[in-house]
Amino acid sequence: MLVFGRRWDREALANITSKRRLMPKLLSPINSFEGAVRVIRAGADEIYCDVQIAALRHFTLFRGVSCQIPTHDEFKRVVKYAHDHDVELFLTVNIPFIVKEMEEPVRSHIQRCVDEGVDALIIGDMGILSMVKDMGVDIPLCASMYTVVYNSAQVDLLRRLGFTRVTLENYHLTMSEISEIVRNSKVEIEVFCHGCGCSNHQRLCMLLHYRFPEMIRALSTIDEFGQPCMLPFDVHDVSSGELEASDLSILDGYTFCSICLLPELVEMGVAGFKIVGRCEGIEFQEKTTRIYRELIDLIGQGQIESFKERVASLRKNFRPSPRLANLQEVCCERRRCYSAPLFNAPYKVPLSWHAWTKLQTKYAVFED
Amino acid sequence: MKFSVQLDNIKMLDEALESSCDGLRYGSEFCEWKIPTLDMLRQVYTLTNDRGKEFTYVTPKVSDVSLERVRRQLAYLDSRGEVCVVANDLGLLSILGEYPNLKPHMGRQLVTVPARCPWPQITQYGAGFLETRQVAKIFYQTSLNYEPTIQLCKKYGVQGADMDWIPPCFQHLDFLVENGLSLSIHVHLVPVTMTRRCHTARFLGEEEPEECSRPCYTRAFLLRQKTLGQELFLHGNVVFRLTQPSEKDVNKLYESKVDELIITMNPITKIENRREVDDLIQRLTP
Repeated sequence: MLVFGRRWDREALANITSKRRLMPKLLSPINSFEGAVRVIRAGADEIYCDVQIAALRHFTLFRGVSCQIPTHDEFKRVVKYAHDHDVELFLTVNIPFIVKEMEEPVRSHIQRCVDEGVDALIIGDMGILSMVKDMGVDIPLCASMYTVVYNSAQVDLLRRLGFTRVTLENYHLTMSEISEIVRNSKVEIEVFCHGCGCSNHQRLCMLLHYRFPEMIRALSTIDEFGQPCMLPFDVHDVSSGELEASDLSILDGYTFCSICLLPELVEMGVAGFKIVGRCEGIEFQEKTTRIYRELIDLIGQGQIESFKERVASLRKNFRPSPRLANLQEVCCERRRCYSAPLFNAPYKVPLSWHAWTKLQTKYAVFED
Repeated sequence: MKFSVQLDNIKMLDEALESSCDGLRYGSEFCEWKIPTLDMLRQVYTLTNDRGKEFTYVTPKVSDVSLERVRRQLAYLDSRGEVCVVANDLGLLSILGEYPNLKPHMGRQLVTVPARCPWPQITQYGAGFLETRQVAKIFYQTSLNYEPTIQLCKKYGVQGADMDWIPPCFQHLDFLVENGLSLSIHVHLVPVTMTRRCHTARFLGEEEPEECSRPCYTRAFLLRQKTLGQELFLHGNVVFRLTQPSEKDVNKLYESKVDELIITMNPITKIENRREVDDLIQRLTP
């Protein structure tokens, strides 16, 4: 049986169903108490968030304060609500960089969050890992996407360093590479399943999603993602000086999706599906969680026909307004999914998609 | 301080070896599909040795498949005696300990440097003078400017690290040297962002990584952003900004006891023959 061009049979599905306890967890992003309430009601198994460190609020690498829970008091409420509903809360200590001047505020921050009952820490820097070990923190550690994992040897290194779960670099590995890593791994492997993809490695991208007057002016000239990687560039050949292309968003930012591939990822043994979107609105966080919850449950219950129908419906009906692109056009035809070949995604996403992103959000929001 | 030339292919190998550089760094720093064959590595290693120059092998981030290829190359190099291997992948770094003669050196992809950012004005928008200064102080350091990080790296045998030519960062290099790291500075090209979904390949219509014709061996692109007035360079799967070394900054590096300056021969640096390499070495020698 083929599901959207991929091999998928009832036997494999039965195999998954028999391993119901091994179904991947759904990890959803939040940036507020209200967001936590809504994604938990929508079916998240785990939630992840960051909390603003007041002393470092002016030093931003990738994400601004709007992506963070603003205070530890609100965070405490989130922890309580999550635990009351048997949902685990992961704290992203996701600064890919630490120096002495940051040590005290980060250390106090981690200690406070641990005291408030966070269930696990997401860490993306070896310095922060060393600090956490020095603090004697005794909760699970999850290796962030900032560790830029490409291979099994790195997963094994991270395991030896004390991580119990590793999040793979989103959208930079092929399905077969993910499968190989999962097969070799002695720790849980988690993948990002939906959200803002970026052609560039986030850890290594110093374009930085940061606003200053000149950047705001530049971004105001485009109808695309409000990020530097979507700025248009004139492309000249270095040797000849000839203009090869004008106003091309050659650094490429986009949305990615993996709904069709969920059965394959489940079969591989991926331990968690993580949704990108800490910087997004509650509506996105809730809707995306609800859709992925439904799809994962259909797979877990062995309802392959219902799963196929639901995916087909989502692909067709994802259309925020009559004049805008649907999921089929944005993510399938533009090859923005995990199965897309590494090199041949087209440059220009449909104009309607640009308009939609300006009106709405950077990410694909599922319509009910 | 020694001068090395870095090449990711053999097109300019003769020119590099004929120059007055002290060493040759060979290999792909950023793209796993440009990893040389074992035969090619053998040839370049032998030629470099024959010319009395020091050989360093440069490796990129690697998938499981490429890591197996690199393992065979590491075994070969290990059999040749002490060789420095630049690792840009934590997994690869972790296996270097299996090869007693290889000297692990951290590549730029394992070191976070916020100041690689092409818009340094982001440090200018703090809430006040003191906060702005604080941000700038953090911004110009590297992830190795934290002692526990260095200690962890040294536990895995790391002896040195690659850095970029970002003069405001130079004041923070002393800390790394004092902590026992041997530093190599890339003279011209500061990596701003990189991808595995290669922008050059897509722009030029390459479809399969394994069958890529490697257009980046000969071509690079200037990216000009009109509103920001920013110029960046696209070379293969990496976007760089170009820096130009000054004598004043070189002196600072000599004072910091930096071990090596790296000259990359490619279309962006416009250093493509021995004379251009020699001129630069002369200019950077106090």
